[in-house]
Amino acid sequence: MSTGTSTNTYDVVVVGARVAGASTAMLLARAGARVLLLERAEPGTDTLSTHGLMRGGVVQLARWGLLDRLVATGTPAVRSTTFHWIAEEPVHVTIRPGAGVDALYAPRRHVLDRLLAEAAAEAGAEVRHGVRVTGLLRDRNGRVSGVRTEDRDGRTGSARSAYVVGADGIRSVVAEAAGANVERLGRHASAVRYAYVAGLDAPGYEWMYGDGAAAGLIPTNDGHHCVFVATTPDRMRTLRLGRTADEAFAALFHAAAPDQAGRLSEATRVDRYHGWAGAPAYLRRPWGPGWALVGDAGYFKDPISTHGMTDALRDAELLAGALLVALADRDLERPALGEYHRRRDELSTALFEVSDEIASYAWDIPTAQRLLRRLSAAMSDELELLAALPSPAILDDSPAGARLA
Amino acid sequence: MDVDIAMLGTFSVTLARAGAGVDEAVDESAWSRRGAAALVKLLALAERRTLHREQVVDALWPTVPVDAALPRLHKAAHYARRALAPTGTPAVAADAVVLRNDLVTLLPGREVRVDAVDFRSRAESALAAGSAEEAAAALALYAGPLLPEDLYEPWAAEWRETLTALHRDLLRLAGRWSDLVRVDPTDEAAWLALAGQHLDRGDTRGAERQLERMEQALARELGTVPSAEARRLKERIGSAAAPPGRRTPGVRLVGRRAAGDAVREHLDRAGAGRGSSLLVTGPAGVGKSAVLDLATTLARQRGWRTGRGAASRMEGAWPYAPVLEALADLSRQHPGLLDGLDDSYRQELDRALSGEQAGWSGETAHQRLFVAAAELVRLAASGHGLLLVVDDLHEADQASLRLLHYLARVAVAEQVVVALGARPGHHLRELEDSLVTRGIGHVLPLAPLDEPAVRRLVAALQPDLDDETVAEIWAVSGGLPFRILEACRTARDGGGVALSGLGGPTLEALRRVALLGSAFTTDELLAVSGLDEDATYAALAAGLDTAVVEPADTGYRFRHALVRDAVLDTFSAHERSRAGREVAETLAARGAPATRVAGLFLASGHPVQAVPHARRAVDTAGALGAYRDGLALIDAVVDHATGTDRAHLLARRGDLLLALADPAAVPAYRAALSVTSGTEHRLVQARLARAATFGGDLDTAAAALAGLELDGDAADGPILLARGNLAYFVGDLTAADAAADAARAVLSPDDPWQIVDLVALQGLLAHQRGEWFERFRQELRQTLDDPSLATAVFDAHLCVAEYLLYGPMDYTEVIRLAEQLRRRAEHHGALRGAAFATSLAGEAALLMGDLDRAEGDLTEAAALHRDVDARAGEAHSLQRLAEVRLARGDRAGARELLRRALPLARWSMVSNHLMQRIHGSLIEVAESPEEAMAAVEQGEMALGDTDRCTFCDVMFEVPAAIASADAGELDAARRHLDAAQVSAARWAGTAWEASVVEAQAHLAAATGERDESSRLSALAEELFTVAGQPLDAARLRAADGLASA
Ligand SMILES: Cc1cc2nc3c(=O)[nH]c(=O)nc-3n(C[C@H](O)[C@H](O)[C@H](O)COP(=O)(O)OP(=O)(O)OC[C@H]3O[C@@H](n4cnc5c(N)ncnc54)[C@H](O)[C@@H]3O)c2cc1C
Repeated sequence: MSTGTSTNTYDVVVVGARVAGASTAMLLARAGARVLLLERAEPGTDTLSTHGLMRGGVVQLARWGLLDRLVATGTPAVRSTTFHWIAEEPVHVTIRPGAGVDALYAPRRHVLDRLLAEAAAEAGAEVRHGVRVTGLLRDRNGRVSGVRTEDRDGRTGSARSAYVVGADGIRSVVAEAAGANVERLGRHASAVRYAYVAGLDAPGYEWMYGDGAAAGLIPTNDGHHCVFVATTPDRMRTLRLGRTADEAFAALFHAAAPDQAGRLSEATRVDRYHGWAGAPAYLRRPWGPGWALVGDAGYFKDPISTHGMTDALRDAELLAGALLVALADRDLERPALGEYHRRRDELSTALFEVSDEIASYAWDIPTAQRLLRRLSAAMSDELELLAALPSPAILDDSPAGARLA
Repeated sequence: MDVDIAMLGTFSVTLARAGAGVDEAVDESAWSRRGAAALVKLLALAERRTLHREQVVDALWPTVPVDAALPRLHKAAHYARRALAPTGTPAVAADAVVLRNDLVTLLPGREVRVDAVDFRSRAESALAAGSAEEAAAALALYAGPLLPEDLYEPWAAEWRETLTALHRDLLRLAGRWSDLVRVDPTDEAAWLALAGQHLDRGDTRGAERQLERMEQALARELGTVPSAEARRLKERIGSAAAPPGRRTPGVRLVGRRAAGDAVREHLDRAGAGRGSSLLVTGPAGVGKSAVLDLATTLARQRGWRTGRGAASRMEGAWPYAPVLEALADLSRQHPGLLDGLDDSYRQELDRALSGEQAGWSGETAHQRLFVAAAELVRLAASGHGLLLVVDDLHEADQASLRLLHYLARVAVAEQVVVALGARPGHHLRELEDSLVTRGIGHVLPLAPLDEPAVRRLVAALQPDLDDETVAEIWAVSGGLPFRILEACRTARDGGGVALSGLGGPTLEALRRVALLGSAFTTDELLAVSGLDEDATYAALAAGLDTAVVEPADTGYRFRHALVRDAVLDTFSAHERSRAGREVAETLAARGAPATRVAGLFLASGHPVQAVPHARRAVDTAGALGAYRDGLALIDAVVDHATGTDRAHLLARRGDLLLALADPAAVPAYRAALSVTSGTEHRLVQARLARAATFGGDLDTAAAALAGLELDGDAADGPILLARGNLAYFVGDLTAADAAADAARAVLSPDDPWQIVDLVALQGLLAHQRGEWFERFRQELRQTLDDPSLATAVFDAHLCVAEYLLYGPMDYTEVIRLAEQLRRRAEHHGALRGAAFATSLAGEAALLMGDLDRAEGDLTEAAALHRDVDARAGEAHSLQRLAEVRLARGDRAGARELLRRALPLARWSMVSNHLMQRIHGSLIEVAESPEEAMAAVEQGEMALGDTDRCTFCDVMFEVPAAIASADAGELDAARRHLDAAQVSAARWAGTAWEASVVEAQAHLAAATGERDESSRLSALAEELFTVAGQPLDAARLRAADGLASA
């Protein structure tokens, strides 16, 4: 793929083909940009995640015309959320039709990520799996002008483009190589363990907040539920001492929701436990000359918010819009990407702060309830923003716009 | 066919008479045993009409252990057999309900048709086939919703939901759109289909009206907004009306800098987490709404959420309407918020918002709506802030004012500003005072503009007017911006007041619709205009042209309240009365809410016609906790009512007064006694007895209950409770116990307030036996486990809770428990329980010496009790607050609080506990020994000899003994000390022992035994310290220091 010419082969190279990267690539390609999407993993692989999409995320899939496909994969519809507070009444919230969607979904990542990557390819993006980006190319002025790559067999190469988008997750090579500053850092981190189980009766999302611990039940594909527990990394470690993995998991679940713990015994675990040791949240500067970041690469918040994918789907569209402007007129790069930066941060502040505070596991129930209220209010803002974005018609699959020069 | 069971729309069983070929319906009276009927219904819906007996028990008696429920099952089966085998119907014999091998079967081996089951299978196959014809055929079987009389039975819920959903799916499949919107007014697709049908016929107006109806229906449900498709259709139809804009757009506010500053200041402070309320007052036309507009604009500029309602929109709207409108507006703008709102809150708000008729049992209802509204407010304020606006408050119902007051208090700790607009007037005084004296709000009076401001405004509107005209405008406008605007319009357009341009029929149509309120829909205009469709549309167009009316979010509205007034003023008194009556009749025929219809009849001077509507409206008011509005309505019509209407209204008058804890409930019930009959009469008797008992009139109570037997109807529970209460107060504890136990067996858990009353009675009984402490602990524990009992905290626990507090209790633990209790009670909308828990926390804080916390909690508790009209609780909290003030050395402040508490305490079920304490405190706050003695005497007189709680005596006797000793009245001191000792003996192991020792020290000092006095003082100090009451110990130390100095 290495090109000897000095002109750009691509308008944009996107690194990482999951929720953030595949969506950005798809949106850019639908608008007529020449896009290369690189992913080091094979198609249809899984990644760490408990899968829960919030309404904003589902709205994006619907706006992009992909929700029907997701439903067709047999991903079950989630029509309610239940909050369990230790020693308090559970709060039950029905998900009603609104903002164009009437249910939430929690697809397995091998389902969702593949679907998005395929949509990017359909829209005209060149999608390559099994290719790892090892560094960035820069022009004379130090502007990022492409990527260096290495494939499975160790063959190196490069690709030139007007922009490189890092959608390569929490250990982003692009962010590292571009020198994207961390502008905000969280103080806390959740350690998470989860497993897939069969035979659980829980048609909706259930979140549990208890004694310094949280847990959740999330219905996903194949009639399985993703069951997770979360607490501080310290506690997670000590809990495991002298206990089997099952015992440790059960103990933490019990701490989070004593009166729900019995339900676990109805269910059978269908695979191993998955663990996440915890990492503090950050917001990185998401752009510079020739490069931009989207998804976890630029903005990672504690997984306890179960909001990472939803935000990635939101920001994919904000970034794609900004890049299209910048591609059309380089003079508008600063205002357009600056606006992306501003909006991302504005919409993320509450989510960032709230998930960081929850991840301290030092709250009492009234505090946790107040935090959750802020989370709900922030999600409402996010929905309103999405509703106000230009109608998705212009993002239709049809190559409406002329190819950008 | 042997047996035919109908469950759709109604419940009935028809038996085929053997041989005779005649069918016989089982008489309704045979089903008076609810258990028997429920068993038959449950089995009829079951597969093969068979259930395991544990399934039956779980469904019908979920709270009863299986072994205890089995006898009930057998009894129910017995009565079911009797019902199904009436004399002369051997066709169905004794084996109608069979219990065998743990299975329960209905009519085994018989041919039974159950309409619900038939409908279900037909419906499912029609839907599977996707056939409109089959759908129509299945629909013919649907006689109505499943078992409407068992609406709240959990065992019927699943079937009901399934059938309701099937019914809707069939209507959709059959394309019966108008039926569909009738059962589900928020089905947008159905409305769009209807609009489409009109369009296909070329009937644009009809299509537009469908869309307007859809908007109206959606507005009644929280957070639902027309979809993009609907909006596009509306645009396509191209409504002639311009998009709704606020009045007089583009005019900057003139001469209102101070108002703008006040608004900004409130927003700033709220932004920092200290919310508050702003009541904008001033005469009509002075520009209150413009200031509220400004507030909205400023709030939005800051990224705040806003919601707005007005009380004038609808004449005689249902309870809470303007506040709900503001919350609905908020939710419409931010529907995503509802993803974070508990379903039960949402349902509560939806129910109130719908304005639908609500049934009322006559018992005090939950204040769930308050809690629901508060939760939505908190949610909406999270993040950025919330401005809630309610305009035209002078036209609001009492219930709205109470809810607003509650929300104003919630606002204090949130980023919330509640902005209200009202013409000044008497009925707002209380709200005004309360906002100001509690420091939670401000009143912003708007005065007419002065001359320079008027000139600036005119110049902005009409720059080229000559000086003479401007001077004239200043003179005639009186400085009212509305008049100035009108005058400028006139000067520009050369016409007179807008109305004079209206033709006769136009004016007639508009003034008739003006009777409905300041806003109306096209449907309403068509219904009341008195003109045919074309003429009505012409009138509307003329109204829009002359700017008398303007488009609103849904439908239209008068441009200004004063324009509507002017339109109405063209009526003569006689014309207005006649038109009002016609319009009310039209509304009634259209199924408008009873409150509205009754209000219109009344406003136009037709109280007789209002009666039947008022009757239903009163029930809605009662069910929603709008007691004062219900009473006002009754007062307006009762003299014009006759027969059962009158009886019902009189009985309701008592219920409403009792709910308000107003002593007038006694005469009210007495008045209802002679006109009521049947169960209603028995309920009146029971409730009269209850009211009279609480009022201390035991003779009346006894007379009311005399000869009243149990009859298996809804009055049994209240009768037993009344008996129990009466027995308790006459001191017959055995009878009280027996009645309470019997009541426990009949009361249905659906009526939590009766259960609460019962718990209160049992609490009092336990208290009398000195076993209350254990009982309270037990109940406290139970309320934490069993949410349905969370409401079981009540005035009666106030005095008995003292026992807990004075004992060797860890106050931090009490506070923690109380907080848990409070949250739980709030969640269940049991604001009384929440208020109780708050005062408990405050008292614990007081006793452990945390005065700041005590002050905060007790102030909140007093306000909360007041919001829910719980007088005893308010009095109790005020008395405790007085103790806080006293501890801070503010005697005057303490006296003022006690003065407020006294009248509240006097008439309450627990007055015999509360009064001692208040009078005890009155002694303590006296400035001098003489004043203290005067307070002792007043107390003795007020308390009398009867009806004293021997536990609570100590609270009066100790301060009385101390005051008497200090004043040198040794005999009196000894007498009070003796009484105190008797009472304190019941408080073994509590701080009251210390108090008695303290009194002894005073007596010793008064008799000159100084050493003995010091010894006793030191002992008392030690005892207080042991009991964990540092303030009292410190007080003694200080006194000791003084004495030795
Ligand atoms: C335990 C846990 C549970 C979570 N649960 C939820 C949840 O329930 N709901 C939710 O919304 N979010 C959840 N999240 C967050 C969510 O998983 C992330 O926010 C989301 O995956 C971010 O998507 P992304 O596309 O930015 O990055 P990623 O999903 O991390 O994808 C990055 C991709 O880039 C590829 N890549 C990386 N480096 C290179 C390279 N050098 N060259 C080529 N390719 C590269 C990787 O192979 C990977 O496929 C959870 C996170 C964790 C850790």
